[in-house]
Amino acid sequence: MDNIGKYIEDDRFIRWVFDKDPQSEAYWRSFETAHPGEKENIRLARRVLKKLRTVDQELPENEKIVLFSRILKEIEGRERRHKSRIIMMEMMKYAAIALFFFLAGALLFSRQKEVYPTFAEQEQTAPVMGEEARLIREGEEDILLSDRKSRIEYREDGQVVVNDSVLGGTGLARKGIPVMNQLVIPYGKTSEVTLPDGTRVWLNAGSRLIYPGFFPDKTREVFLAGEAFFSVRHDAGRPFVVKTADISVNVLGTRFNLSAYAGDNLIETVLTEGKIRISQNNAGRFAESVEIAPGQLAAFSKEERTFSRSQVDIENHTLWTEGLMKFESTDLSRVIKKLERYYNIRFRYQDPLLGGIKISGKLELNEHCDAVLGIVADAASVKIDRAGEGFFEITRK
Amino acid sequence: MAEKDNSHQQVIWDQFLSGNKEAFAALYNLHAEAMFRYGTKLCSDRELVKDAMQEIFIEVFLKRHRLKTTAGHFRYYLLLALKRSVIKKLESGRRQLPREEKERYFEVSYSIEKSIIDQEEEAERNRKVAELLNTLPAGQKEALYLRFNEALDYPEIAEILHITVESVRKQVYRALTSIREKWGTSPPLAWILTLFLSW
Repeated sequence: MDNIGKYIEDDRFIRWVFDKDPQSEAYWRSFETAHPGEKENIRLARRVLKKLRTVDQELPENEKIVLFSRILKEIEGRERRHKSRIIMMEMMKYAAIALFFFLAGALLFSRQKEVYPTFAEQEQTAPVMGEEARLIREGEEDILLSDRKSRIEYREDGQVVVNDSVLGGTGLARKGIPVMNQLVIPYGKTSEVTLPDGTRVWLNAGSRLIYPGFFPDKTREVFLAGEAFFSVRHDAGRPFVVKTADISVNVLGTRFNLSAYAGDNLIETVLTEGKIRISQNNAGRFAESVEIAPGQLAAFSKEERTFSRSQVDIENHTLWTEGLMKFESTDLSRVIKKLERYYNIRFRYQDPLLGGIKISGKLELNEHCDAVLGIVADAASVKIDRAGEGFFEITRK
Repeated sequence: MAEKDNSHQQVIWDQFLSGNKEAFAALYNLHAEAMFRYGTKLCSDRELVKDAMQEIFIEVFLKRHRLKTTAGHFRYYLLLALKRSVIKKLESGRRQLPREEKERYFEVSYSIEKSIIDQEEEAERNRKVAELLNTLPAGQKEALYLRFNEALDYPEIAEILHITVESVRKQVYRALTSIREKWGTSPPLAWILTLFLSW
């Protein structure tokens, strides 16, 4: 008989009723299924709590970002006061950085949930990643990109073309007002975007790119969380800089792949042609920076804060832009991780050692996911079985 | 699940302590809305609330090594800091108000929820309850809000309201008793609340 009180006093229950957070949603739903006798009590406890719901003033997303950019700017200002030079960036750049940290933080957040997965828990949390692919422009409505692969082009005259149709809008960029644009590509999708300077960027699944509607400065600067292949339009007067949370890649005109997922320890840059210099963010003047030549990979370890260089097969890192994946005696776990991102699915290993099996081959990613998994299973001599919606289990053959 | 969740929170917290701005952003993201919701109930001036939030987050980042809080109690820490800061700002702005009035301010309104299954009678009862909640004394409203909308525990609420844990319980109890009275004779709900209150 003491059964309503225990819910009303349970913080997690309160959070469920008020926050509608999907994780607790799943928890309480499965709790209900496991304890059918409690269903009525839960329903009543919810009703009591709902009476206590207040009408709240919300903090709109853009105000939230602007406020955080003010915070970052102030912090940076105070941190630099201790150093010799004070460099104050324009507010606009802080907004971009705030936005960037924000997204990177959000990604870090969602990726790390997968660090300690148990199968039961995975089943509950998995569908959460179903975010929409979209193009967000300041002062305009979001454009949802429903295709599996989207194509976006910023023309020189300031027009924006998405999947062959020209976008309307107030066109702040055309009036010479620099506004930040943001391309969000969730797991299971990819996109190809042509920036206003003619640079082409292929965005891989689970990535975000932030860039201005046109480049007003002497440097062309964009922000990336996730993986992208860049084909940079040569402009000796205006270097192109790709910033991630930890490193910056400086180029004039070249082609390279950059993989900087918030949940990965290594940030990998592979150069196809030209020359690039990679440096660590927020580091002193004598901090290490590296240059790499075509065919080389620079890996930055977030934990050790150091770079290492190696010679690689470029195709292994760039074929994804053509919907292909190539690997040579690569750990199964690495291949699986990429497939998880590409198809927005999750795997579980019967035995973690299975992840160490080396496989070689080429995958046609545009094929149906089941067909691709069949090929991977054959190559690794394991069994891959569907264990739920979007879930697969890898077992010994 | 709670444990897993906590270890995840701990990872972010540790990274924040080591100066990682992604983790800092994640924490901001996690708490900013709740702070704003709470702050705008203490004071209707949105900009003042945002200024206070800005100062608190800057302070928190720059003095992160000296913070007297933990990952699990950070929400409470931020709300308490926000309340202090908002009150300080209000006091410097309106000295002319009697002290009593300054401290008692807590503006909450409750919605009259419309549910498809609600009968007319039920809707009427809901309206009465909302009305009642809206007229509760500021202290009781704040206690209810912190307990049920922000899920703080009694000792934390006591700290924020500057009263003893026992008084918080009493505030909440009193508020819920009035709800029950307004509810009149609806047997199942009266029954629940009785249970709840005697618990």
